[in-house]
Amino acid sequence: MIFMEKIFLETIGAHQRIIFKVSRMYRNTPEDQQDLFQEIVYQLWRAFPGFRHESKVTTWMYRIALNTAMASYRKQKPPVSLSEHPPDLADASESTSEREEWLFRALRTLGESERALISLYLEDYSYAEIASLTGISENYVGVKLSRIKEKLKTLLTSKN
Amino acid sequence: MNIDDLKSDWHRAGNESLSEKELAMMTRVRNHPTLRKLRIKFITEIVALIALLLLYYDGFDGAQKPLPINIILIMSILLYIINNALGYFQIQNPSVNGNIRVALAKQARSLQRLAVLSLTSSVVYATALMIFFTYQMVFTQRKYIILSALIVSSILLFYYSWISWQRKIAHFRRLEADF
Repeated sequence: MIFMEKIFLETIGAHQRIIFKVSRMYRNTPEDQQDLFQEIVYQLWRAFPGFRHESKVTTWMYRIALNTAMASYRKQKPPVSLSEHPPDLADASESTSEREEWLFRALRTLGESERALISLYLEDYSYAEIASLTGISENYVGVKLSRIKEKLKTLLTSKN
Repeated sequence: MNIDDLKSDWHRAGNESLSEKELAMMTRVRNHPTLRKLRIKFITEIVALIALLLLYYDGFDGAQKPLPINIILIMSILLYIINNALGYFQIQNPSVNGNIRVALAKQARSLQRLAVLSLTSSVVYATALMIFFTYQMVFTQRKYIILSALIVSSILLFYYSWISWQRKIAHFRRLEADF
């Protein structure tokens, strides 16, 4: 058990960015993001004995993290508004944290299923891998991603 | 502007880092934001219900009521405890295995089963308590009014509880359909 816990912590520790990103994408406030982070770590720990290395560990983590984020029901809150202008992505002087904050605010304007799809796309998963993780066809992944990209483009160009 | 420009920001994001010790603490129920509170609530309710089971016979004249009434009360309390345990188990073990659509469908199905059990156990428990405490009672008009108010309040509570369950279930079905 102690040995398994050590391997688990090393594995999760090495890829904890995934959990941070999913938490920020699915929750609005830092407190809620922390709670979701903890819930994801807890669910990963419970699922770890069943992980058979049939997929990459990062794919397994994404699957559990996205499922956990969507499995916890929360009362609908008013939609996130993106009143602030997007940062200029070409402008190197724009601070990284500002760009990051805007990125996550933009992602939170999308529906929950759209967030799952775009996060996998941004993470460089192929359409086949996204289809396998979400349970929809590759063609449909393409259709959905085009729509999501259009929505994000609208947000990005709203400044201009 | 290309949407792929967002990829570099995505890859850079989430560079906060927790130590293995901090991560290890998150694997324990006692540090879990929701489960810890739920476990305390669950244990408190079980202790109160077991106390009721142990004391009702002497404290509420169980000996003077017929055996079937006693059995109904005991069964209803046990059913209520089982429902609480299953509810806790469901929150501790949401459907996170399988692809996202499968997990959402499973979540909706298990919530539907839990909703039926939860409502059934609450109705049975409330009915058993009312039968137990009103058995051989000499009714006056005032007592009828109080009993009627209790029944109406209970029905309203059951109704709102059902609506709340259905809202949760509809949320997961909608999410599944969104994919």
